[in-house]
Amino acid sequence: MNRNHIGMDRTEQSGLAAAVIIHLALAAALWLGMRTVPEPVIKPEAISVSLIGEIAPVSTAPNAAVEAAAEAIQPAPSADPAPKASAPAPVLLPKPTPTVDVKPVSAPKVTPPKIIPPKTAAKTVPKTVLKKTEKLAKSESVKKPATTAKAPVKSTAKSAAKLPGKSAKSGGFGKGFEERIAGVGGSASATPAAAKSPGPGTASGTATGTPASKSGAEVRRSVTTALASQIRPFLQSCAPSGVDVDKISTFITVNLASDGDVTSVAFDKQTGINESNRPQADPLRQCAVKAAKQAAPYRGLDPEYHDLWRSHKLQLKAR
Amino acid sequence: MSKYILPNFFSRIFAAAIILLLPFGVASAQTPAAPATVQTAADDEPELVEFDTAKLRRIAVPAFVAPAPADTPAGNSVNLGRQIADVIASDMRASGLFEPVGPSGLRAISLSEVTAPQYGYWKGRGADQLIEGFVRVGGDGNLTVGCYLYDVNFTGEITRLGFVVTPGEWRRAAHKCADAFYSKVTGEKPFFDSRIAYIAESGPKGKRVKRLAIMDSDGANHKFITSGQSTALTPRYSPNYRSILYLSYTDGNPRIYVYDIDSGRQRLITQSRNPTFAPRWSPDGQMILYSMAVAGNTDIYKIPVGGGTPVRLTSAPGIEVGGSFSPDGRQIVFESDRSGSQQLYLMDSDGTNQRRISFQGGRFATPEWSPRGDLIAFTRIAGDFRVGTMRPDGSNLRLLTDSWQDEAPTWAPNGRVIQFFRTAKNNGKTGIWQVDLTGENERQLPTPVDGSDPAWGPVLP
Repeated sequence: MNRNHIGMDRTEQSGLAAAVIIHLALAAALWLGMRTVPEPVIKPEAISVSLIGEIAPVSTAPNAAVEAAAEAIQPAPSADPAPKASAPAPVLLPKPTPTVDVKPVSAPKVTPPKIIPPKTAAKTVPKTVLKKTEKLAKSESVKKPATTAKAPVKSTAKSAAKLPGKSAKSGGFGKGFEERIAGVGGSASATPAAAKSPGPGTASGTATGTPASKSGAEVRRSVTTALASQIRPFLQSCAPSGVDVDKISTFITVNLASDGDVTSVAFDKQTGINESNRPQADPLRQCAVKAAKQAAPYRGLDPEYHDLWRSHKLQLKAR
Repeated sequence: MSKYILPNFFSRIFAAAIILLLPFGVASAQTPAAPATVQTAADDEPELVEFDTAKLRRIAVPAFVAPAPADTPAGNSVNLGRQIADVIASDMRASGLFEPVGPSGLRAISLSEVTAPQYGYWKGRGADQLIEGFVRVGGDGNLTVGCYLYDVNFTGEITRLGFVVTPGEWRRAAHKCADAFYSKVTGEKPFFDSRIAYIAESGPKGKRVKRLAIMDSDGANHKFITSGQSTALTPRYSPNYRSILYLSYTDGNPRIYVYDIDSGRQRLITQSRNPTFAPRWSPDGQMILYSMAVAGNTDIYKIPVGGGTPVRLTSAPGIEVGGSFSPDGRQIVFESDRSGSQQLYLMDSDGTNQRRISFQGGRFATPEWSPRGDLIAFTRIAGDFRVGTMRPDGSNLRLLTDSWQDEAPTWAPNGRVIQFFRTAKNNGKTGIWQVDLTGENERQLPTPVDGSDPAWGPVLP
């Protein structure tokens, strides 16, 4: 081995020299790179966003199903120019005056619902009117509404179609709801099963979109809230206390008339009974049925959705 | 061109890393977002409604009407009508579940109102429920007490009952009326018409006189059974109320006696010279459990109430006492220090299948099986003495009291209320207390002197 004074042979010296040179080159390249002016970043143009409110009460994003629903009840634009001039306001407040054709659903003594999502034109239209609207919209003969009764109805449809946000959603909800309770949906998505899980895949021109299904649950929830607020005071005055009484669930079905009165209350079952709370089970059962009857008539139930809360199941449970 | 190579190279690596990590970022960003179509319940599923149970229900108890006032050995029927209402209101208050109003401060009602209550008026008075009734003196001198129980909120009758009693038993009629109402509203079995045996204590701390005494469940009709010459302890009513088991220190030796209430006589249950204590009845009243100390070892025995040969049920080294039968008579809960400290054990009524059930820390003593069979009450010793319950398998331990020294629980005949005695920390005075099984409504029972070792008897026949 030919070694120098520091103990390296020729090969090692060459390698070391090469390493030093490469490191120097790398350092220089990096230095040059840092000095290089970076490529200009193309900034996207600012988009002006107008905020409607901090928290929107309902989603206003357009939904394909809703859009389709709105279109379905919208007359052809070129066919009928008259609805453009109509405002939805008159439709919002239909007088419950009995007529031959249009029977108001809302009973005078029932307070307007407050928990149900904000009302829109299409939502407040009586069922029969809405059905009429659908019929008229689908019919080619509806090009020039002759009667005054049809004009506001059309304007509802128009307004629903014009506003892809709230109104469009309402139109979709109204149609979905109608089809759902009528059980005459034009497509498979109008069936209850589809209504329960209407994913994006179902939004293909059918009337049952996300909003309609969700609103059904909301209606049920609002009915529960209304019933609970009236039943609770009676439950509290008759429900027995005791060990493990909070483990008992009493299931009842409250059958309701459209005016909120109780037609019958059926006891379904009780769960959670053990040796300690067995004495309280029967008084709880009696109390539940009694309280549901005594709390009637129930306020805050929207008669428009009577078919949805005609028979309402409750699980009553002490805290 | 070349000057961009290296920066571009690093940029690409960075971009590649971002691309690789992006799915994770997207995924994590999407995770919290709930699907738009989530629904809380299917359409046919019931909606949950939770509610609170009322702590106290207000009951109006106006004086019972005496339609034809007459004198009886127990007093005028008008006064009896007021007193009956008083007893009912007192019972309701004692249960801890009701807030009775009346008869003081309430207007007198007419006889017609008894069957046609003025719901509106009582609702205006804030009453949830209403108890009305009448007292009529019959030709034979007996009383007919009619009880009508109404729900003011639901404007309906709950139940009605009538009792024919001698004038001297008017309190029992009131208790029965209260029991009927209590049972109907709470679902529990009755318990007001029952009696309590206890140890009445008097005298200075170092020289206490302890006498056996009995009284109604509300403290009325109090009576001392023993004179106090010998110390009495741990009484227990027989299921038929005819006799009382208790421990007496005669001549310094503890002995178990059966005291016959009608004759006033008593007898020893065993002739042994060994100390015997902690007597308990079997549910059918045919057997007696007790503990006996022999040569430093204390075991549990049982013997027929009419006498016979004692059967030894335990044999482990140590002290085993406080046996209490399950309501069906098949099992016995007792305390034993065989593990090194007082703990609760179960065994079959023939002494087999012994196993420990208390493992929650601290010591456990004076177990008492609930008449309903679902729970065992005990004294837990962990610094303070507290009364609690657990299931027969040892689960679900609940401490119902929280004082310096609460001990010796006894169950109300319906298994809903527990009595015990409490010793004051400063002066050693004792008193009988009771607490609802929920751990609420703790209250002291009025006794003419200090009281300890309460024993609740069954509902009177």
